[in-house]
Amino acid sequence: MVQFLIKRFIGLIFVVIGVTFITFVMGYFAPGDPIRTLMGSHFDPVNYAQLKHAYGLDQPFFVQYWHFLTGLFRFDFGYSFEFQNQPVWTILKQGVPISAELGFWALVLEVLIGIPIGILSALKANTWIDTVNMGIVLAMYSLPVFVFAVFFQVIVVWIDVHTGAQWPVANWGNAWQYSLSDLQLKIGPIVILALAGLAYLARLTRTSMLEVLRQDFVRTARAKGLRERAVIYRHTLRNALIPLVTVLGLSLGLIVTGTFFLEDIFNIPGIGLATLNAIQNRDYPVIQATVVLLAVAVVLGNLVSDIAYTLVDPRIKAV
Amino acid sequence: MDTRDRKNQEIAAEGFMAPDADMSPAQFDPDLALLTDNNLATTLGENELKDLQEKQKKPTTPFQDSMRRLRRDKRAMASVGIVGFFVLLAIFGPLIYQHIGGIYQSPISGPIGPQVYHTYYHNELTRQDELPSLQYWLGTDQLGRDQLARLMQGILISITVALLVEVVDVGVGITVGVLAGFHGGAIDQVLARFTDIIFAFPGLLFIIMVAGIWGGWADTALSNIPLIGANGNARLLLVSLALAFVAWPLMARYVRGQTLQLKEQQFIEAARTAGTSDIRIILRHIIPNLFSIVVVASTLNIVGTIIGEAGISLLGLGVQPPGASIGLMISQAQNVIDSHPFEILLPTAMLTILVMAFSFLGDGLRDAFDPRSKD
Repeated sequence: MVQFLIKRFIGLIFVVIGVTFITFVMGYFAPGDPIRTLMGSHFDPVNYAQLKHAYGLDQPFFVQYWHFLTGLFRFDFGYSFEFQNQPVWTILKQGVPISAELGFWALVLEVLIGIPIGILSALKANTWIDTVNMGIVLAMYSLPVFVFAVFFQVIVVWIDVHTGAQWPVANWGNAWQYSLSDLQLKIGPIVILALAGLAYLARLTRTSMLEVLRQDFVRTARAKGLRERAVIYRHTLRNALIPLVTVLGLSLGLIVTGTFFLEDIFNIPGIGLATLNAIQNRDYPVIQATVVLLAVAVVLGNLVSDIAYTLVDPRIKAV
Repeated sequence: MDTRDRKNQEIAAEGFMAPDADMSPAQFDPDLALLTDNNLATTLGENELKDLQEKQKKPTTPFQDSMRRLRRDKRAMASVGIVGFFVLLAIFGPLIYQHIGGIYQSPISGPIGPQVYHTYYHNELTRQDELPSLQYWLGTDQLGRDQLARLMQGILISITVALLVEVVDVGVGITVGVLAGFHGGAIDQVLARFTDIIFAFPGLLFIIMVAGIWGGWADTALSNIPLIGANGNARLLLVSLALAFVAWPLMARYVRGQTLQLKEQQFIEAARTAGTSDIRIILRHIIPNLFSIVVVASTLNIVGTIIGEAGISLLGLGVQPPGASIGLMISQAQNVIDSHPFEILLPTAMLTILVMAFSFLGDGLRDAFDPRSKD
């Protein structure tokens, strides 16, 4: 177990260095001189040199990378180009709880809905319930999140126009508060964000359940006259859920990219929207910070799910 | 191993009894013996005999088997039809569409023919947000541009990007994958580390970063390349490269796995024993055997590519306004979602159809080419 953890940890360091390096290189070789753009028509060489020094852009490549890397551990992502004197972190800070809220509830929904759908499909395998389920699930998995967002908005707008309802189509309420008006705003984006991961989880649950149902110990359980409920819940389901732990990483990836589109379409002031605004303003440090934050989150999610897998499955020991 | 152009040493050797003319072929082949044995032939029915002869004439190759399985998959075949239709529509549609319709007296630009108002970039500002009509078959958008023309251009963009990405994806994926699988060692290690990093990076996040940072540069610098030109499509090259960059490691990993399996098989061993060089083994024996896995993986990857391009354009980082793309159409129609929902439904439905068709096709191909599925 310890050996496995060490191995995974070394792999993690590799990946984090790789991700940060790619991100850094992107910003470092970015076209144009940010300081020059920043100063605009007020260009004068002395101020230019001062500013360049303040941003640390006059230092050699590897020194800059080192600062970038060590800064990450202190949540210090440097200063924004667009809003002078503002650290990147203060720009992103307001967005973090909102994006985290969106992602968290989507993840919860995936587990709470995706797994039961998968179980139902497996128990009714090859009946019309299964076929319909899996057809819907396939569509949910293959279509991008923004297609659903658009369909949702069109429907809501249509209802609003034709019935005079006041259901909102965009914006976000107060983070982590759930009054009626907050809920109205939040339900749509959260459900839509959950769809893709939910579908993936449902498919995987179905496959996993069917596999376990074919095992000898399930037949034994049935043979010794256990009630069907006990066979399903105590013997099958528990074993079928084990491989699902590994999906967490992938779900996180889907959620992270999904938030960009949803925050754009629904105008939710999370870090995705902050980053898209930064792209408009060519505020590279903000872009880099977001990418590194999210990529590291996904990597950590993968690590956690791997560790959880070894904990849940007694057959895997110190691989 | 290819033996056609080689002198077979063993046959020429002493003591080897070559089959000679007065030995009947039946003595070698039990199936043939069955046929030439008159008694048996009469006991088999006429039709069965025919079947048997047919079978002997043309043994089906595994590829033919797979194609037969694919043809029987109705969903996949319907998808082939849909994809084919839209590809033809995107390529030839605009040429035909621009010759349909009479002269239109535009209050702004004077009399114009269909070759003007049926282009995807012509603004007819007095005809905004229209529903389908005889002049504009799918209506107009908020700048009075023809929606059908824009849609066809959008499909063309989607398919061009998909093609471009697949060329790079397959080329790099096969090269690196085969080398890593065949030789192992350092190149395998590097590939493994690299794929770890790329898999950790959520693909679209990387593309958003690349398009966000380099997009402005691409608009000016890449539009100088002759064929692309300055019509707002220059960024697509950048986006395509970024999409290919995140796509190829998966392809390489598939190819590597398949190569590892193939490498251990007897026909490779035989080829090696016969003194075939490594390069020749790779080119003649390994790469042809990768065909099915590459086709399946790249078809499924096209889905991701189309979604990726549409998504990036939706965020305003792909095709730039004079140009048209499905994602851009969705993004622009968002402003009028409450008054003219048709404008946003059209490109969204188009994307849905394209994505589903390619998914079904990919699924069908995977089932058909899976060696474990026998009929």
